[in-house]
Amino acid sequence: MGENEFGLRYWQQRRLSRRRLLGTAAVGAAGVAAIGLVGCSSSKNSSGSSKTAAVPTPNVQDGTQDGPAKMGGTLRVRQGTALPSMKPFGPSIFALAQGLYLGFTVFDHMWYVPTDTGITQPFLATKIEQPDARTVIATLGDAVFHDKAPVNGRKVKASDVAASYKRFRDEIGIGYDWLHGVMDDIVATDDRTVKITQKQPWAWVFTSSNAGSPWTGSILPEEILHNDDLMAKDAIGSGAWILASHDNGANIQLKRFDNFRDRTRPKLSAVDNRLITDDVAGLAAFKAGEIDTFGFNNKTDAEDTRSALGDKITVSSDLQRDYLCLMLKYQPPFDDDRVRHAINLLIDRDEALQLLVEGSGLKTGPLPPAHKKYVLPDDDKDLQEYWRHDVADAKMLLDAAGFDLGQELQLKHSVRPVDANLAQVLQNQLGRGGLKVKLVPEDLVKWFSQSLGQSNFQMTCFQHLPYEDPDLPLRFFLGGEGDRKNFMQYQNAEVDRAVLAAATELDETARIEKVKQAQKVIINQWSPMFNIYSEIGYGSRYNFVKGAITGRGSLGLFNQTTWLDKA
Amino acid sequence: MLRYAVRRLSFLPIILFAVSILTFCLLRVLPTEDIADVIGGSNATDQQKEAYRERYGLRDPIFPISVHASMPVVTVQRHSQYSDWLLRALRGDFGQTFTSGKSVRSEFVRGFPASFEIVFLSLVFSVIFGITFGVLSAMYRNSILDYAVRIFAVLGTSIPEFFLLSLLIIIPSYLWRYSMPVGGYVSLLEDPLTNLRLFVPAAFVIGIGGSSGLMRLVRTTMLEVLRSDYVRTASAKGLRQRSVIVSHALKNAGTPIMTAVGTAFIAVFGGSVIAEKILSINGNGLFFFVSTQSRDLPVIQFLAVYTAGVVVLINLLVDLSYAWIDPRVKYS
Repeated sequence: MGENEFGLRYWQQRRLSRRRLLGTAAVGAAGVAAIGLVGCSSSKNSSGSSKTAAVPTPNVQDGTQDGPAKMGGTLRVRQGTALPSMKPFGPSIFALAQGLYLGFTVFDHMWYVPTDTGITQPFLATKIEQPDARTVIATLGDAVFHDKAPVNGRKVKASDVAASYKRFRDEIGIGYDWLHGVMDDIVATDDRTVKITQKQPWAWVFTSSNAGSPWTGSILPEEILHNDDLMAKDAIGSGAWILASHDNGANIQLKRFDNFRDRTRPKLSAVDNRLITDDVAGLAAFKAGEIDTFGFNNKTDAEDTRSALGDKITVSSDLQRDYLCLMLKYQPPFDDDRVRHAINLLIDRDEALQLLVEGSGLKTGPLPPAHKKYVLPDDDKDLQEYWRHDVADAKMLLDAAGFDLGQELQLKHSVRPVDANLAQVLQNQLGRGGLKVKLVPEDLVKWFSQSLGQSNFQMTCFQHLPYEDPDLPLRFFLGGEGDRKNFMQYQNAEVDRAVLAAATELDETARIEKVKQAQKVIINQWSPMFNIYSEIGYGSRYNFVKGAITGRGSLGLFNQTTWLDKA
Repeated sequence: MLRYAVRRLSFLPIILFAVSILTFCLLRVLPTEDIADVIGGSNATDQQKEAYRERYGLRDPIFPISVHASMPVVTVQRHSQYSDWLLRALRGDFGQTFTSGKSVRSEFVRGFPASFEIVFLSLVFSVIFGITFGVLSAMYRNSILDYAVRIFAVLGTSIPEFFLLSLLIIIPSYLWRYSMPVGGYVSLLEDPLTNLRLFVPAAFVIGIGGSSGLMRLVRTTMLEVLRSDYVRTASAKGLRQRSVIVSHALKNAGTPIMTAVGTAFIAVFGGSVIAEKILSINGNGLFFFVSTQSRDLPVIQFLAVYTAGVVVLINLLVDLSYAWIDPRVKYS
C-alpha cells in the first residue's frame, strides 16, 4: 500500500500527526511552507495539465482496484492529537494541524495535483485556462456548502474562492511562498469564474505547495471567514465530509455530505476518529480491532503485527516524500565552499540509514527520491559526488580552508525523536573529521519559531514534511528578499537563477530538465542544506477496507473512494 | 478548629499571589522568550509581531511598578501585563489560549471531570493498597508476605509510571489482543462500562506508584505502634486481633499516615497527567501537557496557580485531619 494508503494518514495514522505535527503542528521547518504557498503544475494548455504521460508506479492504485464499491459503513481511524481549534487560519503554524485535516475533509478545493502524474485534477473547478503565462481563469462547477448556519447550504460562488485565498494570504507565510511571492490578485469576475493573476509566470501554480494547497487552497464561505468564534468550534465547507461532532478537537466524527459536488463520493457513511496520542496504544488498538488502519513507526512493528494478525490485514510500504537534512547557516565558517563540501563529505548517508531506520530508505539528493520524474539518476556524476563519504578528503578540504578544529560548532535540533536521533548520528560523523559539535536540543516550538524561523542557528538538522512536488524542496534554496529570506540566509545568484528557471518553465519536458539542472547547481555550489535520506513508511489495514488510493501523494487523504467490505 | 482552618485559608491568596508573580516573571523575563515569536512563528514580519504584542497586551510593562536608577525612582503604570491578568483572574477570567483562542477557564472546566475521576480513583487505590498491605506487612513481619510487600514497595517507587502504563497497554495487546477503550473520556453516567474499562486499570497503575511510599510508612509506623504498651494491653484483655489493629493500633498510627496520604495525592496528581497523555484521555492533564509543549503562556500561568492552590488545600485537609484522628491534637 502506498504512503497514503487510507487517507488521513497524516493525522490518524501518525505519520504527520504524531511524528511531524505533534503538539504543535510545527514540524520541520519547511513544514508550513510546504503547504502554504506557491503554485504549479504543468503546461500551458487550458487544463493546466501536462501533456507528458504519467509515470505509473507499481503501487499506484486509484481506488477502483477492488471492484464496485459498497456504500455505507464507518471507517474507524486514529487521531494522533486533538485539534486546538477548527479555524484553519493562523496565527502562524498553530493552524497547520487543523488546516490540513479540515482541508482534506471538510473544505473543498479548486483542483489537486497527484504526485505520481503531476497532472492537475479538477475538483470544484470544471475548466481551467491559462490565457497567458501569468493568468489563470477557472470556471466553477455546481457545489453547495454544508447545511449549517449561517451558510445554510447555499451555493458556492467564485467570490467565496477569492475571499478564501485572500484570507489565507492575510496570515503569515513562511519564506518564499506563492500567496505572497507570486500571486498578485485573485478576483471573482462573476459567480462562477475566478481570475488569478501572478507577478510572474509560475509553472507549479496548481500544485499543493502552491495554489492547490490542501491547507491554504481551502474554500470557505465568505460570511464566516472573519468569524473567529464560529471557526474555533465548527468548520463549514463544501467538501466531501461534514464535521458532525468533536470533543473539543478530539474524536472528530465526519459524516458523508450527500450534496457533495460528486454525488458518487464518498463511499463511506462516516469516518470516526479516535484520539490515541500514544503510538503503543495506537498499535494495541489496531491489533484489537478498535481501529481499521494504522501507520507503523518502523519495519519491525510492521512485521510483528503481520505475524500476529496474519491474513486479516494487509501490510504495505512505500517510499516517503519527507526527508532528513543537515542545514548550515551561511556565515563563517560555512560561507566557505570548501568547508561546506567537507561537511557533506563527512556525512555517511548509508550509515545514517542503517542506524536510524534499519536501512529502510533511500539516500536523497537536493530532491527526495519520491519525485521520480525530477530526481537526478543515481549514476549522475554530481549526485554521486554529493553522496560520496570520504573522511580523508574532508580533512584535506578543511585544512585547505584553514578551518579551526578547536572551535566548537553548535547543532540545534528539536527534541522530536527523529530529529534528536539524527543529530546524534551527525555529531558522531562530523566528529570523525575532527569537528567538535555540541548538540543543542530544543523544544519543538522554540526550535521552529525561534531557531529555524529566525535563522538563529549555526547548524540544525530536521525532517522535512512530505512535499507533493519538487517546487518546495528547491525553493528552500532561493535567496528570497526582505524579511522572507531562506532559513540559511543563503543567497547565491546562480542557484536562484537555476531554481527560478525551473519554476517559470511552463513546458513540462523542459522543466524536468531544468529541475535536474537546478539540482546540479545546488550540488556544485555546495548549498548549505545537505539532504540525507527518505525512509520507507509502513502502513496496514484490515482487509475489509477497500478502495484506497495509494501511491498518488496526498490524494488518498481526501478519503473519497475508500469503502468497507463487511456487513 | 474552624478558626484554624480560616486562618490557614487566609494564607491561600497570599501563596497564590506569590506563585502567580513568580511564574509571571519566569515566563515573561526568561531570555529568548519573545512571546510574539512563539505566537507569530517563523518569518512573521515585525509588523505582524507588533500586532500580536498589541492583541495580547505584551507591549504593556510586565508589572505596574517600575524602579529606575534615576528620578523618578519609582513609577506606577495604570496598565501592566500582570495587573491586568490579576484583575481578570479575580473575576475568574484566566485569558485565552494562544493556540485556539478558547477561554482557559472553559477548557479547564471541560477537562475537569475526567481528571478528577482519574485522580480520585487513583488515590482510592493508593490508600487501599498502601494501608492494607502496610498493616499486613507489619503484622506478619519477616514473613514471605512482608518481604513481598517490601519488594513491591521498592519496585513501585523505582519504576516510572509511564513505563507501567505502557505495559498496561502492551501486555494485554500482546497476550489477548485486548485494547483499552480508545477515543478518550466517556462519562460514568453515559457509559459506565467503558468509563470503568478506561479508568480502573489506569488508576490501578497510578495507585500502585502512589501507594509504595505509603505502604512503607504504614509498615514502619505500625511496627512501632504494635510494640507499644496499650496494644499489648488490648491484646492481653482478649480483644480480637482485628479490633486491636483497627481501633487501637491503626488509629494511633493515623497522623503520619495522613501525611503520607497527602504526599500520595501529589504523586497521583502528577501521575494522572502522564496517564492522560498515554491513554489519550482528553482531560486537564492532556490539556496542560500539550499547552506546556506549545508554550501557551496563559495556560501555563493558570496551571501554576491551580496546582499551588490544590497543594495548599490538600495540605490543609491533611492538617485538619490530624485533629479528627488524634483527639490530643487541638487547633486553637
